[in-house]
Amino acid sequence: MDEILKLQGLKYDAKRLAEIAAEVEVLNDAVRKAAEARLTFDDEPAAFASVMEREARK
Amino acid sequence: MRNDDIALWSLSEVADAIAARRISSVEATEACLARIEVWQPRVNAFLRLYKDKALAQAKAMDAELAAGKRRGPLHGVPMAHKDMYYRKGEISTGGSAIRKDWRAPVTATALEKLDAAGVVELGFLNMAEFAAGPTGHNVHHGHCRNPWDQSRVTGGSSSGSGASVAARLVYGALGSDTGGSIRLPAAACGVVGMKATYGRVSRAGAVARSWTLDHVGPLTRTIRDNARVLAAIAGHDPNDSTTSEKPVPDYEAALEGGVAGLTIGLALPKEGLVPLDPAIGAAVQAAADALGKLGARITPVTLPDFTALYRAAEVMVKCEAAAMHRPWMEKTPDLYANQVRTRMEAGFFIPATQYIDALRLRAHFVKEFLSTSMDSVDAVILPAIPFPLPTIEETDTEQKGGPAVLKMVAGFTGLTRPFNTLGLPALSVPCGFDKNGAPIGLQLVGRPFDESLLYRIGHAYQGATDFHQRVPT
Repeated sequence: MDEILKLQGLKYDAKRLAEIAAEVEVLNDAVRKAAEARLTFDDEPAAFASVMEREARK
Repeated sequence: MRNDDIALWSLSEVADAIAARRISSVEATEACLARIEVWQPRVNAFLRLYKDKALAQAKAMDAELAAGKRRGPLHGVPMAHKDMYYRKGEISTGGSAIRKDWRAPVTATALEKLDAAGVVELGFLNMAEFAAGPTGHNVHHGHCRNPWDQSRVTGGSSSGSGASVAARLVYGALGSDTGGSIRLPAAACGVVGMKATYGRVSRAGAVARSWTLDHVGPLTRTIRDNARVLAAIAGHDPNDSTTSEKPVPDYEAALEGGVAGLTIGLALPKEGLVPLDPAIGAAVQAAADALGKLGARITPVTLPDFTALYRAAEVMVKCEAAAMHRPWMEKTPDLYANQVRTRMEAGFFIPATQYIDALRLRAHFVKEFLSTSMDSVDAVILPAIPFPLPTIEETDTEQKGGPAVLKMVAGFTGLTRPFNTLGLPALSVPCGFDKNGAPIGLQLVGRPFDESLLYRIGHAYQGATDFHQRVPT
């Protein structure tokens, strides 16, 4: 965590860092699990816009 | 017309009356100003009121009409907007202290389009600081208060938009929606709010909360009003590369199609991030019954587990907000409300790979939702806010804090934020009042770019109910 703080140029006390760590863990876990079940090498962010156009009612 | 007080007419009624020269734009503007004088001290909806400028603008609109020029279906109609739409050379606070004297270098595309349509601008409206907050609290400019009960929240972040439209101070207002910020104040204040499909309306010149999840849209008293404003602001914009080139339909022309033959999915989620209050569920069930009587086929649908969609949205918002706010967070952190600043801090610690995966997941989430919950229905209806409206004091995270308060505040967006991740059109329509007399919102969700169908359903529903015609006193 100290290294991340140095890289980001941030200053937080230990109590706040612990709170943030807990928050990030929840978010990371949720995204990682969703990604494991769905994402492949070929998925890219721009696919979203294509899907929206394609799935519109004809 | 059904009332002598012009301020109580709908946007469409007043626009049509101005066009027919039965009333003038100046008269409509004066009616709004008179009401603002009475209600502003109660609800704190306006951050800046442009009285003289609005009257001069209204006079110019009347002169144009007298000379045979009508700009469009909003000619001469007074509106005001969330204080995050840039007007070149004018102050635009974004609800913040940091930008309290900042002047915008450009005019937002949505405002340019409303200018071209002939709208009179009454001023700019209260909002959550930098559009971060679902309740309507603002420590810098004062909390916005619900016209139905001034001890209760307005919903946010477009708090002033919801309050001003509900109190009949303006005929319509622009809001913005990153996790529910149009639909929540619409639901809480008893008005109509549309978060159109991502890419339907340009975000250029609007303060960003999250470039990926922000949606620009109108709050109005009726569905017809909303359709008219959306038609004016929708469409491709070279200044916003995420806007779609799909043509904008004539939303008003499709309003009278009725609901006979449509299949509408009813979702009353019993489990999830926030439990559904039975009274709210009953109001939504009653709305479904009303649509059923109008000829729609109502069928229960199961929503997916929204947890992943919700968390993915949080990752996007936190990372993007942390990036854009970083200079201020480093130099002037004390100028933020605590809850606004602390909600962004996690964004500095989320790995870029997680953020990118959240973006990559969106296409999968949309395909899954459309092929499951929406597979055999034309639209889905569900509550906008899953519980009765709390008070300002109960949800004051700056003063109270603690897990219970934070959980309640987070709960506001439990049923709205997932549709920002999905980018689907979502509309909030008033469908009743809770045990405290505060409004309840019905949320309608459609396929991509299916705003016309949502308006059609909402219009049929408003034809059979009168919740949208009730006025706070």
